[in-house]
Amino acid sequence: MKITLHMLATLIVVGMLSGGGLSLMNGWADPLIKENQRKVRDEAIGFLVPGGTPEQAVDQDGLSAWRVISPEGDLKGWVVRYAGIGFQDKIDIMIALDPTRTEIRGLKVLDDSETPGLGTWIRLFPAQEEALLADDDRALDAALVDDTKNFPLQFFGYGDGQRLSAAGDLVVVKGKKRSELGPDQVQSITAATISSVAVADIVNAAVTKLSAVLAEQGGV
Amino acid sequence: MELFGIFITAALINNFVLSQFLGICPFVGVSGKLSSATSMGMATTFVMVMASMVTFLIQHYILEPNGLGFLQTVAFILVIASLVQFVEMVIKKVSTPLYRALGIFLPLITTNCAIMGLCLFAVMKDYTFIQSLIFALGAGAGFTLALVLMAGIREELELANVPGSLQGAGITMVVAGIMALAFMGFAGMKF
Amino acid sequence: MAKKQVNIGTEFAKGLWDQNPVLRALLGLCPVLAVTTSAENGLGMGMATTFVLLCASFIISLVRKLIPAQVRIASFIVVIATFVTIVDLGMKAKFPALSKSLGAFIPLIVVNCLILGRQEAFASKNNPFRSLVDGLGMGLGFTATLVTLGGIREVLGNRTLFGFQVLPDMWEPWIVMILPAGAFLTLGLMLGGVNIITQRREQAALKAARLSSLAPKEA
Repeated sequence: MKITLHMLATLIVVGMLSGGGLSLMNGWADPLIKENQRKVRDEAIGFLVPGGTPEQAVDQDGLSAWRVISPEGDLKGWVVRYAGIGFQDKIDIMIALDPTRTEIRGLKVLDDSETPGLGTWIRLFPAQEEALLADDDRALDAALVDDTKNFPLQFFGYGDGQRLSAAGDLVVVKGKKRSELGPDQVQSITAATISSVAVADIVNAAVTKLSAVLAEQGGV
Repeated sequence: MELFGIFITAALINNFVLSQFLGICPFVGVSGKLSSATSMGMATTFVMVMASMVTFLIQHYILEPNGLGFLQTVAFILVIASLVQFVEMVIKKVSTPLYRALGIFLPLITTNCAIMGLCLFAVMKDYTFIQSLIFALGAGAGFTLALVLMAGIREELELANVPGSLQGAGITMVVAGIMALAFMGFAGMKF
Repeated sequence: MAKKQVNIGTEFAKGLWDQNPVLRALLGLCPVLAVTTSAENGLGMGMATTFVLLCASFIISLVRKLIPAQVRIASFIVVIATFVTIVDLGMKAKFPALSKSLGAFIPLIVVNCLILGRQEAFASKNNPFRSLVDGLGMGLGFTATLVTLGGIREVLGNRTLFGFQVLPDMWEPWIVMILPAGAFLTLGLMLGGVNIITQRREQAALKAARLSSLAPKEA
C-alpha cells in the first residue's frame, strides 16, 4: 500500500510540476509567437502593396483578405491569403490584387514544404525580392536565374508588364515562350510541375472564394 | 476516394520510412529477418491506429477547447506509452502465441518516432477522425512494407560479399538510400 | 565499498567517439537523417537535443532516489516531454526561422531513444554532476555528427556551408543529397568510414600490446 501511495504521489507531483512549468513557459512564449506571426504577415503585405495600411476585410474558412488604404485614403490594392495542398504539404500564399480585383499584382509564398531545389522555385530569390521592392528593372534583370526558375515573377507582370488575370482561371502551361503566354497562362517550373500547378490552383481558389465571400457580405 | 488517396499517400508517396524519415530505429534494428519484420510492422500498425484515435479525441475535445495546445507533446507521448503498455497486457491475456511472437517488440514501439510523428502530422493536417484512422492505416502499411522489403533484401545480402566496414547498419543505410530513390517514383501522384 | 570511479574526462569523452550515440550506438537516427539538409539545421537540432538531455539528466539525477522503480519510465518520459515542450516553445518564440526548418522534429526529440536511454543507463544511477558530464559528452557527440552529416549534404547538394557558398558556380549541385536517398547513402558511408577507422585503431592497439609483451625482458 505504501508503495502504491508512493507511486501515485510521485506521478502526481511530477505531473503538476510539469503542467505548472509548461503553463509558465507558454505564458511567456505565446505572445512572442503571435507577434512573430503578425510581423511575417505585415512584412508580406508591405512587400506586396507598399505604402499603405492594411485593413482586414475578410477572415473566414482559412481565407484572409485585406484592403490596403493609402495615407490619402484611397484603395491601393487588395492582399489575399490562402493555403492549399502542394506537392509535399501545405503551401501558404499571399496574393496582391489591384483595387478592382481583376489583375494579379504579386505573389508571396509564406510557407511551403516543397522539394528543395525544385519545388522551392515557387519562391522569389532574395535578390529578386529586393529588386522588386526597389522597383529596379535593371537589378531584376541581373537577378534572373533562368527562364523556368522565374516562376513567381510572372505574378508581378515581369518582363512585358502583362498582368495575370484574377478571374480564377489561371492555367499552367509548359514549353511556351514568354511572349506567347496569355493573361490566364502561367509557365510551369521544369521538373516541378506539381508545385507550379498547386500554386496556380491555390491562387484561383483564393480569388474565387474572395469574390463569393465579398458578394455575400454585400461589399465591393 | 479521398480516403483512398490519404491511404496511398501515407503508404507509398510519402512513405513514413523512406520519405519522411520516421521509424528508422526499428527499420535498421528489426529488419534482419522477414518474420520479425512482419511482426513488428503489424504490431506498430495496430498501435498506430489506436494512438491516432485516442490522440485525436484528446486534441480536439480536451486540449484545444481549453487552450492547452502547449501540452500536446506531453499528452501524446503519455498516451502512446500507456497504449503500448495496455496493448501488451491485452495481447498477453488474449493470445499467448501472439504475445510470444510480438512480445519483445512492443515496448520498443513507444520510442518509435513513427507513432508520435503520425499523431503530430494528423493534427497538423487537420484530419477528421476517420481521416486520421485511414492515415494511420496507410502509415502502418507503408512502414510494414518498407520493413518487409528491407528484410527480404537483407536476408539475400547475408549470402553476398559485403565489405567488412559496411556490414550491418552501413549496408542497410545504403540499401535504404536506393529504396528511397525507387520510392520517389511515386512522387507526384495526385488524388 | 566504493565503486571504481571512472575518470571524469573519460566520462565526457566517451560520448564523442567510442560511444558516439549515432555512429556507434545507432540511436536517434530519425532526426539525424531528417534535419541534416544543412549544417545549420544539424547544429540547431543538436543543440536543442543536447539542451533537453542536459536538463532531463540533471533533474532526474537529482531526484533519482525519490522515484519508485515501477513508475520510473513514466516519470522520465514526463520530465523529458516537459523539457522538449520548453525547447519547442522557446524556439518558436525566439528562433522562428530555425523552428520552421526543423518542423515536427523538435517535438519528436521526446522519442529520441538517446535521451531516454541515458536516463535509464546513467542519470538514474549517478550524481547530478556526473550526469551532466555524461549528457554533455553524448550531446556534443550527437551534435558533431549532425553537423558533419548536414555539412556534407549541404556542400554537395547546395554548394554552401552554413549558408556561405564554398563551391564554384560551375559545380552542378547533387540535388539527391538534399533528398532522403542522399541522407541514407551518406550516413551509410559515414558508418562504413567510422567502422574502418575503429578497426584500424583496434588493430594498432593490438599490435602495440603484442609488441610490448614481446619486448625482451631486461635480464
